[in-house]
Amino acid sequence: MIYSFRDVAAGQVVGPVDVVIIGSGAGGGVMAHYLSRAGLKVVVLEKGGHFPVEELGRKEVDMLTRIEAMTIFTPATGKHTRVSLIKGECLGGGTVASESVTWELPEVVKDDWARMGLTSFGPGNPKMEEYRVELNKLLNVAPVPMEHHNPCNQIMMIGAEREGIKWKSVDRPVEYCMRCGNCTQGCRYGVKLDSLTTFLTWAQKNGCDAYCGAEVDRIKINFPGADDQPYREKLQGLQGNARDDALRELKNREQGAPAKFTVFATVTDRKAPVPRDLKIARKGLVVHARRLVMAAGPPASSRILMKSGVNPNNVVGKKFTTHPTSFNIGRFDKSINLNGWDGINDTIEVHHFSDMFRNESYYDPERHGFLLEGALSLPWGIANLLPGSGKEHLALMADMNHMSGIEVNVKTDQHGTITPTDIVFDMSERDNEAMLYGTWIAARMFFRAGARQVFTGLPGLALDSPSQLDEIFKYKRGKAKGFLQKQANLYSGHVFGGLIMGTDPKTSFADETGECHEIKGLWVADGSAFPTNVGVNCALSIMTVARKIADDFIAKTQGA
Amino acid sequence: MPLTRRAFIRGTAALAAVVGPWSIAGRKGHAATTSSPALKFLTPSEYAYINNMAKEVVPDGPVLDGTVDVAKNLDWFFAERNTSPDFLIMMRYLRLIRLADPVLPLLNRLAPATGEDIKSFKKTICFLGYYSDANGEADMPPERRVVWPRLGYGGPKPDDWWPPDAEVRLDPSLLTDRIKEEGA
Repeated sequence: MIYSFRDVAAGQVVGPVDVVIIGSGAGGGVMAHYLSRAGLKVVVLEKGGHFPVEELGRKEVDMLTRIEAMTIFTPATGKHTRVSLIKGECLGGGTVASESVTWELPEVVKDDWARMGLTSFGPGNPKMEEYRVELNKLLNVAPVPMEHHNPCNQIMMIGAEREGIKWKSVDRPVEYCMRCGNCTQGCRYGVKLDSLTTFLTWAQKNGCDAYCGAEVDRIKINFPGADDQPYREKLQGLQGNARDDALRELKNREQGAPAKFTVFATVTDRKAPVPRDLKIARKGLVVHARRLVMAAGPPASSRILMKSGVNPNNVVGKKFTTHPTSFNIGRFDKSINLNGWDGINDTIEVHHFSDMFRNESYYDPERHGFLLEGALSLPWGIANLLPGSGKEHLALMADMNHMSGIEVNVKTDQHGTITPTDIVFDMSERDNEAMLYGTWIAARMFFRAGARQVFTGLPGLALDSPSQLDEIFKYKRGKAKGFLQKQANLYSGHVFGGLIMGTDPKTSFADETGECHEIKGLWVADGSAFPTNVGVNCALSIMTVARKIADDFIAKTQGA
Repeated sequence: MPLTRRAFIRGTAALAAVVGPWSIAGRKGHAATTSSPALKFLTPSEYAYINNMAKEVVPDGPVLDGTVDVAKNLDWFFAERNTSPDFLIMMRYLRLIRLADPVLPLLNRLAPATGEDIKSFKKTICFLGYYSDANGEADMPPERRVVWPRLGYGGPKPDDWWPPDAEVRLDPSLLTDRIKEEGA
């Protein structure tokens, strides 16, 4: 069942249940399906509302306030970087709100992880291939057919071909796409196979309950287990009667509690307009669960644990990373109608520089290249991306139908930190070089396709002619070089880390099964668990990792 | 010490707490006056401020002649449509802009990056009330729309939308290769 504000009684207590999952996106949805299919009683808590397909799509900002988190206005920042983070906030999470461009978890990234000690992600585990095939089949992942590339994306295709760079039709999890151009507002036709229309729907059939509008305030660990720190170490030092006494004491604590974990949430009506005084009706909701899965997305998963005082070895919030992205716009003659909002938003990608394939000449073993994606936005988004103000800006907006966009997604080599209030992150010099080069390539592709002007992601830098291309590398503003400045309008929908998997409990939160090293029964199954970024659109990568974690969860708990 | 964005925001937040009047608790709306319509969310003063700002940021015909009332659009959007408590960050932007306005020339000199942020906040708010669906045009029949036809934007697809078999194909011969032609 799906419960929203009006279905919940104030102070309602749920459970004890087998598992409570916080978050319902790519990771939470997959976990809900596979764990409920294994016969476990699962409850999902989702901060956002439940918007069935008939309520999705169409309206740019209306849907922004319904299905996306406003992390876009509270960016990751550092000394010289500001990256707005795009994140889903509704039942189905980011999978509902994304363009649905799909990449498999790259082989090279799995190898990297295996080298870091997470060997079960490496080639030695045949299950990884099974998960890949299974998810691709379940989600009907297939490349966009040639005839479905809209003119805006064809510009990138033509530019890449003339530049001698390979391009690729993106893969998407969709059945009979209606090509309405509103993917990022949620699919009102229900043909985008997001977590809401797939895993969460299937999970419901297996008895999973989802509570929407339920923001988790804190979690409480009611009793420690013998395998939890610091008791694990203490018990190792004890023998005989002393050990038996300690174990008995732990058992006594367990008997007085409803379950190991209690989650306290506040439920609000996410479909009601918000009054200015923020006096919103709220109801408390308490869920008792034997096991807890964090899948609320990197900032929220880390912050919920921090607020709850759960921070073993002070690792929570560490190793945050992302794919900082800049946006470039090509402006074409008025005779060239591109109508970027017609058709599928993002269908062409150039991975020539993304260092994902070892057999390519550009392969870089450090793998901090960049990915180019065709994209355009709706009027408010484009208006905010175009430079200037007043009459100058009006003239640009009048040319919107003659514009095309290319994103430069950089696989940063940097890590930041999620704190209770901020995300501290800075790009490196190397990231800056990659983004500058990506911008140069994007601008060349636009000029190759006949653009009369190119607006780069560098504030104020518009190019009228190919002869100005080197201005990109020379760009300096005061002391700021290139993109190492906060006014560069960078953004990202790909966020990782904060509760990473690893082998050392002193530097990582979870083991390679996704279970916390120090608190047994506490799991992580979203992008938070990723020890590195992946360099590509990440929903399917998160699903694959969650799929593996679900199997590991079942094996460990059923074994126990 | 340079004035950082963070210092500016913290400073203005503290100033706002002291000088007010930002009391918005329990507001039930404002009756129409000679200079503003009935408002459900904004104050008459905010209404006037936003519309003055819109004339500067989006000096398009419909804004200048009053056909499109950017502030009224925002009032409607926030009172009737916004469901995200966090989206009220727009109101925080508005307060920052209003506080910064009298000192903007100085700010541009001392902390140009902060000045630029203020300019970008202004754009975000005005564009929200003019270009986005907060302008109310998504639910209007096409013939009643004013802003979107000026952009060539057809608005959201109607309920009886059915896609063409194939997207329009661009003719590459009409797209001059400027790198080849101009030799860069």
